[in-house]
Amino acid sequence: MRVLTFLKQVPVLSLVGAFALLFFVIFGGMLAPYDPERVVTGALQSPSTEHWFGTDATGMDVFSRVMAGAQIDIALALVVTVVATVAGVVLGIVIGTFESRRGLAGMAGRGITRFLDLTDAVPPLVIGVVIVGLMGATLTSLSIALALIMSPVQARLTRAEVLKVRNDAYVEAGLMAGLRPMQVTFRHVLPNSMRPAIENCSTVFGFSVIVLASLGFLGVGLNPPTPEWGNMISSGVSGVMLGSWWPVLFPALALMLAVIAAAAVAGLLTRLSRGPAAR
Amino acid sequence: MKAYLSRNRWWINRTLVLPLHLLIFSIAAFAMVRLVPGDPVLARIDTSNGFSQEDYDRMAEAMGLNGSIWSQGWDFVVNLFQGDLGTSTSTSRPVWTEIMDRLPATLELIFLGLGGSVLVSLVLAFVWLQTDNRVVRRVLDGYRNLTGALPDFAVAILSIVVFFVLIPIAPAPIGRLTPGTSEPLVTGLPLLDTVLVGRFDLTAQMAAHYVLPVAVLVFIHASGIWRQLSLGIEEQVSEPPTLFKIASGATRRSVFRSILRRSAASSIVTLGNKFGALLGGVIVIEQLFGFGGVGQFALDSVRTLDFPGLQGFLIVIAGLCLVGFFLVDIANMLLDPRRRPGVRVDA
Repeated sequence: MRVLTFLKQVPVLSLVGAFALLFFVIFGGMLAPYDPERVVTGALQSPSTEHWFGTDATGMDVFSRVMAGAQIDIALALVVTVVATVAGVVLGIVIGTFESRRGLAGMAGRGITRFLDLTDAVPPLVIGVVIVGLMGATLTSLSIALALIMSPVQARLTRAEVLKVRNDAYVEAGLMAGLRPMQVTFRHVLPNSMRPAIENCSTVFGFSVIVLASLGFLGVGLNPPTPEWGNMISSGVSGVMLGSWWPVLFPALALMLAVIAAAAVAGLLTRLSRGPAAR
Repeated sequence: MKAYLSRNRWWINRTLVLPLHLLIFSIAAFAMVRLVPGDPVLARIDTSNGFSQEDYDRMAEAMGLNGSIWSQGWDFVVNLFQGDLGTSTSTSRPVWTEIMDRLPATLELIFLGLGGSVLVSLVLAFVWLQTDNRVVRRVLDGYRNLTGALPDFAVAILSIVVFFVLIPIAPAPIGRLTPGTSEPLVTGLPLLDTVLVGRFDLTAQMAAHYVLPVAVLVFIHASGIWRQLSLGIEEQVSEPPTLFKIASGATRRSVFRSILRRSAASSIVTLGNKFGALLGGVIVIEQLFGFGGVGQFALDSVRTLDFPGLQGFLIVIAGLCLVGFFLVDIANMLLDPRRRPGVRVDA
């Protein structure tokens, strides 16, 4: 019964989006009919019943590569979302709690806050290009770069919420009841100030997918033959001029669908994070 | 004098912190480039026959990469104060020249895209205020909800496939002009330059090449600006100031102006943020349409591990962003004096 009432209140689109994303992360590779990293037939064959999305300039099956690419792009973006949100929330809580104190801790807190504001002035893609470009593209360097790009946003959202929540009655009540400040922070302030960051997760995810693919496209991200949407687009783009649009269009569509699915999940996250009262 | 200062504190303060922020950034940019592993000296030495420590030191000195990281950082900041961003290690030209050769073209594309977005948003706002038609309003509401759900990268590719391959009406996405034609150079802004030298045939040609990328930028970014503007309008449209204007018999135009002026703040902030994000994001569009720009320099610098080049690029981009944010703040405080710090308004 509870499942039913839950379902009634969650927009169907959100669920479809969430399931689609998870489905492709888990089963994307299995759906690939051919080896995504091997030449299977002649180059640049247009879409047919045998090769649904055609083959690319080297003769690899585009459908298999798009599916396998989902596992890389979506999974990496999910990891980044989790890491950036956890790091951002923790940082946000810490600076939100400390920045109004006197002394060294307060100064450090205020310093970090100002610095987080300043990070706005470096475009995300530029940070990605510099870090991944210099470190060399690996799954680790991509995750680090993207987490660095995304966590300030989450930290700022959490900090703003901590500043609001801090003055609520239950915080004072907790302190009066003799809880240690740490306990109040993690038991009471944390769960009550996570909401904006959680709701922002789907945006972070969508943005990560875009930046990831953009890095691949610019030749800074994962290199071919690794099936990654961005590098598939970049290696196929010169062929568009000669009329072979399929190696480029399908990864671009996949990218777009992933971002749209993420936007659809936003409603779901909002409902989950507002807790049972809002349901 | 004192009264003048205190009345104008709102913009004086804001102006004075700008260089400070830029300095913090330069240090951050230096740290960011240097702390990431990678050795540009090794990249430049011919290591096929092995190399000695002397070879390495000589190359390091030639590239200005000798000494401790602290002394390098100090030199870097000192040079910066003299307006010197250093010399590119891959092209051996001053970084500032390298960037200034390419930056205007990038800025032109961004300004066309954002200018178009602002125009579209204003037109939409006008339509929204004029009409009672439900369908039109629903379409406008739907458009604002597209914000963030469409990657410009994918939309650009889609547009190329549709308008170049399937319905071939757009010129080939390989540069601003037909290959082989050289671009006139006066200010560095390609479209403006064709007008300045009076080659209107080139202007038309370049405009044709600009249509698709600019349309993509406008389609994507107008949505976000329109979203903020329309939220603002919804909030302001039946507020007391509007009603007062209508009641005192103001013209329709004056009422619209008053509503727009009060609801513009957050869309101007969005515009500033978009400018910042586009300084990076437009690299992808430039590459896709074969336009040269400052992004190409950054990519080349990364490939050749050109540290001074990268630092210079980061500082120039961050500086432009900061100036953009600064202009946004000033514009908002000019439009609505209630936003100036220290001004108290009782509603």
